[in-house]
Amino acid sequence: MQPLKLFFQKHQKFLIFIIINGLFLFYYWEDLLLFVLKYQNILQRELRLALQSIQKGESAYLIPLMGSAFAYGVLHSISAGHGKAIILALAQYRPEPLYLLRVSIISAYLQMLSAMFWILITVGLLKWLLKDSLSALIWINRVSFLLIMATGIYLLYRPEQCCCGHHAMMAIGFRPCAGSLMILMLAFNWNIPMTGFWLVFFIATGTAFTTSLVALLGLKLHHQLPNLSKISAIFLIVFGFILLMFSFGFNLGMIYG
Amino acid sequence: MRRFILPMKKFLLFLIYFLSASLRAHPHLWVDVFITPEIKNGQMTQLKMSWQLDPFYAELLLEEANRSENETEFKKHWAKLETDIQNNLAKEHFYFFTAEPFSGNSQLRLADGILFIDIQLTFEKALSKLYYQIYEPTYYVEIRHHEKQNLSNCELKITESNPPEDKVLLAYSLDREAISPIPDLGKYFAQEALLKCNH
Repeated sequence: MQPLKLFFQKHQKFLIFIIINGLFLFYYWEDLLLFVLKYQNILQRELRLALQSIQKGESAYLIPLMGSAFAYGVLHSISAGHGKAIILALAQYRPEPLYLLRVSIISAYLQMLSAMFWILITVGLLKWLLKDSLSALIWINRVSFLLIMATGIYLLYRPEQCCCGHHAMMAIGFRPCAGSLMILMLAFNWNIPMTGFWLVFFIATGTAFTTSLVALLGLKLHHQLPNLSKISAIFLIVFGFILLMFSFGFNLGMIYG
Repeated sequence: MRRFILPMKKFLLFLIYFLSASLRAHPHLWVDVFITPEIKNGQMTQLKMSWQLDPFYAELLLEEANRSENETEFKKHWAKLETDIQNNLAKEHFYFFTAEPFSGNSQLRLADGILFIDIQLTFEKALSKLYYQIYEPTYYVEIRHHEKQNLSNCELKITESNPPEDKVLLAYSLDREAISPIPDLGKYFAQEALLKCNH
């Protein structure tokens, strides 16, 4: 019992902080989530409508549209999950602020590049219909879930310094974000690819912003509880596995009817 | 036991929130509805609706037609699309849920680059008021009344839905390809409309 007692004494303040905030989150997260979902829904709609206005030559929409794109990026990465989980885990292995910020930012823009790459190949080069391009994405997703699991396994078995940044960035960036894809698809089909590029750039900037905040949170967590690395890696493996299950048709309705 | 199970369920949902990933979350497509009641002798005999499809939805539907080399080919695609939509909508009672019996038909219309589905519902008997909901049961598509309605002789009262949290989260957890495990998910998100035409 002695080490446990020491542990509690050492981290007393932080544990109280975690408990209070945990309780707070536990009671208000639904409101927070509903808020995020609602505005994400509205923003995604607005982005499509405004993009159409630009296509018709109403360039006055351009600047507000960039703002919406940024907001969408921020909100979207609050509600969506895989980047946050990976960065949190990585922070337990390489607790260096500049390094983590770099990984967060680069992976956000990698995600943008992967969306552009996907559209260029499937819609631009192969001339697929948008609906086919969207359907085929499920395979990209499955690979990205495997990459998340792989990152967890890699972290678990090769925890020496200077390890895992590339894997983490790959695992985050491999999977394009849905909102960005749709904007690129529309921009591509409507012959306004540069507008599409800038919008997706601002979405990625918003994502980079949120992921960076999560990275700093992970850093704080590591400073308070330095022994979480193994748990966080195992969490990544389980997390990737659950996402993979979801992609094969598993859903919440099966859990609680 | 219940005291134990409820927090567990909440905790599970809490976990799912952090697990959820970027491509999920129904709805994926949106429709804005404009309504025009047809009044005869102070009573409503028909309800005309214009469904404005969101640009991405329109693009998905029109993409093949837009690749046509010439006008004839475009018209062929357009006619096929129109028939398909008419058949699908008729099969689903135009996603229009009311106690009053009606028959309906639909046309496609492209105005200023925006795609509309124009729907006419003809009621079996003339009505002074109508209670209805419009929703797509799987909630892949969200159908809502547009904020601006142009109603000359009628009054439209919309009550927004108040979906229970487990239904919101269920919708949130559904992937693009996933089909809702409960048959009427869309109903929980549907507006309730009361249309009164007795002036």
